[in-house]
Amino acid sequence: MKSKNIINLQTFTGGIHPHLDKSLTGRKKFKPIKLPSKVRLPLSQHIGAPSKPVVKVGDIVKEGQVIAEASGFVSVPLHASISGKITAIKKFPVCSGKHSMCIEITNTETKTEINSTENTNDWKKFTPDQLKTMVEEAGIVGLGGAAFPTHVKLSPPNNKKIDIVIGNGVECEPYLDADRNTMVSSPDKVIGGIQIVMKILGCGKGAVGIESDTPDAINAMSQKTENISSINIVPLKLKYPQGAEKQLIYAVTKKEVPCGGLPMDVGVVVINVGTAVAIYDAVVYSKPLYERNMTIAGNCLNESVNINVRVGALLNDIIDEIGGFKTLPSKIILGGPMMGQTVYLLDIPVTKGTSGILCLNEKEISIFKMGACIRCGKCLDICPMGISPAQIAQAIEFNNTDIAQQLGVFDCMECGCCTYVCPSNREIVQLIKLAKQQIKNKG
Amino acid sequence: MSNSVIVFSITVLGSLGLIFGLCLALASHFFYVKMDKRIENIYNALPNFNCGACGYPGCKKYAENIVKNNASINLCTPGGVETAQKIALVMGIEHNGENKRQVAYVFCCGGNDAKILSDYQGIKDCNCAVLVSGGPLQCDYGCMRFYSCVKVCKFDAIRINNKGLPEIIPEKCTGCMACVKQCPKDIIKMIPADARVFINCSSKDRGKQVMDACSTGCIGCTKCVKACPVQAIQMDEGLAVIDQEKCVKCLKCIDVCPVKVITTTKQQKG
Repeated sequence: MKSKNIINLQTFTGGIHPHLDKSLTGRKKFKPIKLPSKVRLPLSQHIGAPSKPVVKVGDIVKEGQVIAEASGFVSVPLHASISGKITAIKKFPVCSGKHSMCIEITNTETKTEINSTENTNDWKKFTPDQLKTMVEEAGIVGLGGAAFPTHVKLSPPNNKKIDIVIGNGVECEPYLDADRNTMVSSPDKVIGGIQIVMKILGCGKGAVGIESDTPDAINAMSQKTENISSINIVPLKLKYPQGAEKQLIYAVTKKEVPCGGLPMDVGVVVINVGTAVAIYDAVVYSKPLYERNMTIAGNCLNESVNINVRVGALLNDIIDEIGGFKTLPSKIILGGPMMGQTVYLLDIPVTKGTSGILCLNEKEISIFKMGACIRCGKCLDICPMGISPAQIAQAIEFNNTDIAQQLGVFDCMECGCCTYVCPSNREIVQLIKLAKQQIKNKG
Repeated sequence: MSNSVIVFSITVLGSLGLIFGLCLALASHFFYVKMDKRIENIYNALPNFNCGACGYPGCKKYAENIVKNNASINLCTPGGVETAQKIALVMGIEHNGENKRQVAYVFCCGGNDAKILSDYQGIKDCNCAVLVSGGPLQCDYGCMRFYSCVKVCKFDAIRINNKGLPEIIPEKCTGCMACVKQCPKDIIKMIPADARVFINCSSKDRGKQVMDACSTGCIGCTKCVKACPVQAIQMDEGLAVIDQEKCVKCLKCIDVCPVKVITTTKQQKG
């Protein structure tokens, strides 16, 4: 790869430079961990209709076996992530704080089976429809965090032609480091996954956007794509939120997704690199999605690591397995610190959409008192969606959802930039979330 | 100054005034907008709280909708039967629907006893707090005590009792349901104003979970269901619920309740 001048790297408008702190995981390789003895698999881990269980309490299941089937088009099947006995199908607390239907599997066998990866398929001999069915049956959802069923993304309406598939290798959230690791450890799988997606969509161009702070990932990926002319590795300027779909599309292709539109409206499909690996595994090794890569970091832990976790493993078990807490954490977040979900319990399972677990201490979190808006306009400068967060926040403070809607509250993707830069410590994103919920409740 | 100047100015101003007056008189005659007198009368009969309980934005719009769109005449909760009868008189129809006065009631008695999982630092509002992992309480059905209902009440009918819980004063409550709509946990419900026995819990969890989360909460033991002589108490997914229509206020359920979650109020003038 030709070395590019760092100033000329592509990016989007707006955005911020949060303190990244990726040094905690030390850019380390994946740490192998023991299989959990118990998993709880929520039936609704994805956007769309919850899956329907096809097993009963007392059934013996094998790793990778279907335990719940899709209940509609925007839905995915669920697979057992460990071998064992189904011990419960009832409501358990999940990461949203609510109780949701889960299937609990307890490992009864003493020795764990070794996953047979000998039977490999050549993906090139399948037709696009066969490939898409394989992706659908493997229960693959977007692993970036939103957990949107991937086969829905791969089925654009006939009148929309997809020109380019973009691999999302941008991990712009602070602390998180797992996607970089995925690209460094298995670049051929990432490239293979993107090629499969390109074949399904029948488009000839692919690209992978990677931020310039991960040169090892850029190098590893560039080496693998030297002989593949259709896939282009695009180094991007370091900025948050570049990993957001619309920002990444603009940074790589200079195309702007219209308000309320989808990437397919401008002929683009974005696939997270983790999802690409899952697609490759599903097609080549016939392995459904039951494990994912994630970062567990924070100064409260004895060791911050990148690990490969079985879906449904409980936070308690994972943290014990990697060495436990050094000090009691002040805040535990699922996902990144900018957009993640704060959780109050450790007795909850990780889902397909969990990209990290952060255990932060008092110094890492900050508690402020919310002040009044001083109209400095900082949030206007950095808003990557080009809306006016301060005005929307004020409108919703006075219960005026109509004005909030006029100002484009639904264009907000809750990236948290405005709250990060606000000198008055206003909780703008929380107010916007409230506005969205109130407008939805109104109907 | 000569007299002629005074006479001249009086004549000019006087005649101008006459001409303008004539114009206004003609305009008011030709451009007269026909108004239905009934709207005005109904508007005067309404309590003019503009609470929105009827579903229309304010009393004026409700009055207009009664006349123009045949809206039901007994929608005004603060006004009650009296207002409905007045409207019926204006509209020349008979008012037969008996609208019983309904008041809001908070079905939670956790308060200071409810176990708190975390120290919530965000915006002090119930609807905001519930966005973060479903609220800081362990109980999914408990009052988080950020008092969004108190802020939204236009009639000053909600006070905070010694347990830190919002308590609705039945005499002041007009039944506009603003607090019911505001509560994210759905623990404020409407009950008849003459109800005297309450099961102060909304938790549909299993008994053990309830005991873990709160020192007072309905554990679903069904003792009250068995004790009730008129079968007014029914179990609804692990929670005892009183049918206030059937309740004879014998207070037998209060004696048998092991967690003392059933209470009564003194007989007040209804």
